[in-house]
Amino acid sequence: MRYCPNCGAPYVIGSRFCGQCARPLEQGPRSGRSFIWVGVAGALVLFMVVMGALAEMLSVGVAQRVCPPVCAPPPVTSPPLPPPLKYTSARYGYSLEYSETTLLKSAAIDVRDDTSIGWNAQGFPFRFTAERAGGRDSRAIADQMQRTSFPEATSVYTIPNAELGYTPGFGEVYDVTLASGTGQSIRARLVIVVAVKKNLAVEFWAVGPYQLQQESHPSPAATPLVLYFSDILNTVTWPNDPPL
Amino acid sequence: MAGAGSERSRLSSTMKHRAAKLRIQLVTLACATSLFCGNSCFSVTSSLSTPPDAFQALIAGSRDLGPTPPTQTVSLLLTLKDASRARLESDLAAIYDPRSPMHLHFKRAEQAQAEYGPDSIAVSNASSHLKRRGLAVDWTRGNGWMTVTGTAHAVEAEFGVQIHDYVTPAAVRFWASRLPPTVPPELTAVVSGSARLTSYVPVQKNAVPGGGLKPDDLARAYDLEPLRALGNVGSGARVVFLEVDGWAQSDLNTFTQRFGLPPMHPSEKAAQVLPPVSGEAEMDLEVVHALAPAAELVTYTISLDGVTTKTDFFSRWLRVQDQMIAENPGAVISISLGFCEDWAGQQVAEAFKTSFEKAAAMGETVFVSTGDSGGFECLAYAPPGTAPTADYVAGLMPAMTPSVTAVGGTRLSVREDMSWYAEYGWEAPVRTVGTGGNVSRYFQRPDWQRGNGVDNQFNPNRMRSVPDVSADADAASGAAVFLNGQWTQGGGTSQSAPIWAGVTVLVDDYLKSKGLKPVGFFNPLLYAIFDGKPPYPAFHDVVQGGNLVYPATPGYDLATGIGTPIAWNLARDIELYERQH
Repeated sequence: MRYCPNCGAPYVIGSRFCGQCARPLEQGPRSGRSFIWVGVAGALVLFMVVMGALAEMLSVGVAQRVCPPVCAPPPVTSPPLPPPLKYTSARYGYSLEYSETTLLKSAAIDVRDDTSIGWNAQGFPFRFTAERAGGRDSRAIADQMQRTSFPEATSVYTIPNAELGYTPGFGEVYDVTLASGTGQSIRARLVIVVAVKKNLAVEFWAVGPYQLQQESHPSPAATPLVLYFSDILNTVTWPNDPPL
Repeated sequence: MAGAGSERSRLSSTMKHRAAKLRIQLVTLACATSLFCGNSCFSVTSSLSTPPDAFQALIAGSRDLGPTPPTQTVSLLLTLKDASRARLESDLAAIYDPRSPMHLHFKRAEQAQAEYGPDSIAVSNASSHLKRRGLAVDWTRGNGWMTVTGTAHAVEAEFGVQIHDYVTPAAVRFWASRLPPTVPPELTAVVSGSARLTSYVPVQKNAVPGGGLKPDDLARAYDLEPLRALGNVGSGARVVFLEVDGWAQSDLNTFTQRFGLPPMHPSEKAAQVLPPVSGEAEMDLEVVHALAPAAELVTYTISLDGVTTKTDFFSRWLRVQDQMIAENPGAVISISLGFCEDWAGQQVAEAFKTSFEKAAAMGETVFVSTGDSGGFECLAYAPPGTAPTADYVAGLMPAMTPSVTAVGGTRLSVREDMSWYAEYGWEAPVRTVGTGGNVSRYFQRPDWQRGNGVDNQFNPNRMRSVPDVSADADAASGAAVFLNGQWTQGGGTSQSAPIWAGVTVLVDDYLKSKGLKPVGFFNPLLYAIFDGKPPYPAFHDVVQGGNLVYPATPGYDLATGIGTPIAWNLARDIELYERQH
């Protein structure tokens, strides 16, 4: 379906004239019609365009035709939003996509190397990284991440159907308390998600401020940071995966 | 706040350094300051270990402040016995049975109004009784429900309840009766039951804001182009939306001008003044207009302004819904709103079922989104921060109603030419967000719900299961829409329901061009084609992803239903089906 660039009325592809305002339309798709017919049609269109232009030149002072109810401008075919950006790990080959048009405008990339990419959102970090699984499953790797880096974190719940790029994995939300340089402490939430495929573990972790939210779909992770990274998690692909 | 900001800055700097090394020092759990918690820091005073339903979970997670003052005005919603129900259901069975001489003989609006509904004399007697007890009654002829309003003292005396004030951990105050109201003997002849008595009013708008598929892309992905090339663009069709927020003509103009679509000028039929724009109504309108640009668009907006009780909430909703159904025979209806099935309770669920059965009798096609909390549709009713456990696994009303087509959500991938490539059951586990889908607690499985996968291990009692169908709902793969002054990507099952509405308008247009009837209540036809051996594959079977609780599997599943539309094939299958029957 196409729309008349003059008045916006829909027309069937291949139509020569708008059924609404009678303006000439685009050339229809080239088909197996004979050269003569194409030539005749072309001449006819040219004739109509010239006549239309002449009519317009001669119509000064004459009321312009009104498109019912409002004239629509010509269509713009490019998407209004830029496409997502892509990160591919040079070392491990996993990829992910992120869009700077939404929340990530207020986060800054602070780690980007051959293994990892990470953001800082108002002081709170979230990271993607990878390593060889070496026979460990996603849960074992997630547990090891927690024990090694956040040993005093206490589990709040296991994330149902945790996954990266629709590859099943393991994820957990933890309660943690962070100490600042001034001795002040704040309650925070640690989120870890790991998925393993082809012996490659893609790992995600984030630490965000604990904050209960009153919205239609409040995340039980209880940190607004999830809004920053949630969409990215679904875009992760492993080397040689078909695109999602 | 300046102090908070600088403190936060120092903290951030420290955190960045430590986090970079994946070493963050932990100290004892505390919520000592309000800098990061605001008013939300709290301790849950009651156990939430095994809430039997969403309502009890709310009560258990809130603090009891004692009896509500006796002069406080409270209200409750009563559902009414209706002797015409059996006739309505048998009429529906005949209208949607291809072997019946009444097949697709839809009722006119005035017929439906005259033939169906509770006995008005009996309701009048009940009203008189209640008025003598100092209670006010609000009932519209034909409706299967009424509201009763009075002081807490009068309602407690008449319905045997104790109403208390409560406050949630997030400081929301409400009143409620822990036990359900008891119907007094004087009313049992006409009253079938009562909704829960509370002022707590949550409502879920099924939208996920995000960052797009252009209108033509969406049409190509679901194979609508052949239909549109034949001139099926929705001329003469009407699509009706039930909304709770408003729309701005300037936003709709920006959308249509950007894509060179014909202008759209929806009309509002219920609210005197449109509520503020939040994006829900605009997404509904733009998505349908993108697919069916010649269809007339009409909104019926429920005003939630000043809603103070659950009764008020349900009665306003049902009143506008009943008006919408009565005024639009033959229309396609799209609803992207809902509330947890537990929360509704069986009596309210039945009132919604009857309301939509009248829509089916009048040949209306109703699509309702299944929600965006995955299988955990009751989690939004628990105190914030509650972990997603089996206690909160439930479906969303009114999508669970057997007389609507429930629409779930997917993540859609397209090829470079924008043709369909792949789909996944939409889920975002870290947010506990995804396509709703579940087994009903109240409704038995209708006869028409059949086909590969409908019988499954999650539904041993053969109850109604949703979704019926699905479509794109992931904000990461959503349609480009202009909402509330900015471009964004549509998402949520709020997007998938209007996609199906747009598809159906074009399918109806095609059928009418062939001298055939529009689809009306779609489910008997959808499942007949799904379960049959149609010449053209009509659905993309989604077999990956899930909804946090249930996986997408071959055939029917509780995450994506039958699947997503291949519109041109579906239209031709229906054409053949109608000709053969």
